[in-house]
Amino acid sequence: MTALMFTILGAWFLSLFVGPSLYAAMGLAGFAFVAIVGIPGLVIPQKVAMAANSFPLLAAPLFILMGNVMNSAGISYRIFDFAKAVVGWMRGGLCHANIVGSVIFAGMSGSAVADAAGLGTVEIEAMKKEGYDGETAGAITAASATIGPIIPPSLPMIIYGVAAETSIGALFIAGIIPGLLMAVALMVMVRRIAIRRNLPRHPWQGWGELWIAFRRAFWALMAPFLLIGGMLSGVFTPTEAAAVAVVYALILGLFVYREFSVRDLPRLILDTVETSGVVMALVMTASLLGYCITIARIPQEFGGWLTSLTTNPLVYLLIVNVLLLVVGCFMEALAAMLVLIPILVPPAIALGIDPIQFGLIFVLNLMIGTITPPVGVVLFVTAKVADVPFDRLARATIPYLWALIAVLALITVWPAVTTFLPNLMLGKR
Amino acid sequence: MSPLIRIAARAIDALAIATFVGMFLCVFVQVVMRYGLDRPLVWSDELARYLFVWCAFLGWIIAARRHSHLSISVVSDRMGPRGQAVFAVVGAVAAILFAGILFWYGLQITRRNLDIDTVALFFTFGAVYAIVPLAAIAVGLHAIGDLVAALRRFSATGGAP
Repeated sequence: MTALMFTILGAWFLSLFVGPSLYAAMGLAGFAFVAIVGIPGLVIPQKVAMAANSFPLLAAPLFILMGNVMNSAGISYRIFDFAKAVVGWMRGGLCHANIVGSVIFAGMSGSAVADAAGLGTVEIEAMKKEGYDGETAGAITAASATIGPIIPPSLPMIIYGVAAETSIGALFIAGIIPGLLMAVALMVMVRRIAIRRNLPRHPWQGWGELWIAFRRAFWALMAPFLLIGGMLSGVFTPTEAAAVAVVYALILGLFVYREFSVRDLPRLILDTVETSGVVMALVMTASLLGYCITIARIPQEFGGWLTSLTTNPLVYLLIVNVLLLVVGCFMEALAAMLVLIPILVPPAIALGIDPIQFGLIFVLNLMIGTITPPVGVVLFVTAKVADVPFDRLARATIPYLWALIAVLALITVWPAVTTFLPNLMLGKR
Repeated sequence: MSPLIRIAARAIDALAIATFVGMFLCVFVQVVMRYGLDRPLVWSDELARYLFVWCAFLGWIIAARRHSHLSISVVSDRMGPRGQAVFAVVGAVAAILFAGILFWYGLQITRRNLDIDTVALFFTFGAVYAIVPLAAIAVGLHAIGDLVAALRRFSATGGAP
């Protein structure tokens, strides 16, 4: 059965390049296994439908709505203006502002694609107006958008938490430090590039301007604190925090900034349901595929083979990193994550690797995968927004890739970077 | 689009918005009752989850209609119009096959669950599962429409490939 499932997985992977929807290919692969092994077909609708019967996973559509509302509420340019006032005076100032803006936006949005398409549009427009070329603007936008799902809230972490049965709250909190480190690493890289290429800078506008920008963005800046604070204090579960955050974003958009009206709501909700449908189609069919992978005993076989190779957690993490980086290049991040979790997580737990640290490594790897060619969703979206050819943008992003890989290496060799905050806040698990 | 399809699409949109709002209200009211009024609800968690099942499938239909389901387009992007039409045919056939499978087994699981009660709600589990065959029909019809369009493009680009 193991060999059969490996064959099916291989065929599934190759079939993806002939252009079917990822979900349909996953569903058909699951069906093939079920039919050949002779498991009753009723398991198919059961696994598929019941994957959505999950209260933690419900946080996903709510956070998607929050991001959509925030993007329509005029919050993106308020945040970018504030970031410009804070770091715009440095050389390559708008690149730095781009990163700072992404960090702030990361605290209220959970998807790198949403960051690149929403905030990214504002950022790239502003950068082009100041004479940056499309590649420079697009590259830093794409690279900094990957911070979005590392700093809470985070769609990939919700899905990881549900699929790997790990605490979503702990994963969220564990992402704060690595997310900030990513920003620092990117800013160091920007500084090097800015000096070499003599990128433009703004004069320091003075504390008065900074104060004005801060006041204009104040309610938006408070959103991450509301969210993270609510979850840290244990008042809300992530799902409940998401619902509260939606209400906050709606009040901001409808009454405080008044950038949209109640009449826009059906469209926003419909877009949210559509995006959730895309995500859930993957989650649901992957749940069927995950069931097949487990029945076929792939985790045990693969785990046994791996532990015969190495019993050193660090070597295992190194292998996982290389595997995920390669897979991330050729696969869509979410689908890759869902298929690989049942295979890679059990051996990690058996080797005594902290599940939270492993989750962060997993998610960061696949986020890096979203900005690597040939299959990189964020790169793809950003290329469209910045109106530059995909491959030229991919080349311009390479320096930032190194910065992100450095952070990945750090959280791999030093568990405390990811485990310190959750242990401190939520107690030793 | 014929008027009938447009009305069906409108109805699906309305239902999608209704289930999403219902799901959101369940979670929000749950927070308010538990922390605000200290009177926790017994049914909100369960109802929110079932509405999410429906919402996920409705989103699936809408994404199928808007062609926003994810696929890997590295290879097809490098093809000519005729090659892309072939890829579109393959994609549509895969979607039709999977929709067929979901419809067939979804219908069976719905019938088996018609007399199985939910925990704290008034309807049976069959109502939760009913969206599976329904969504499969809608997604299947969209995919058939895509198949016809792809075949037309294929013959329009006819002659030597």
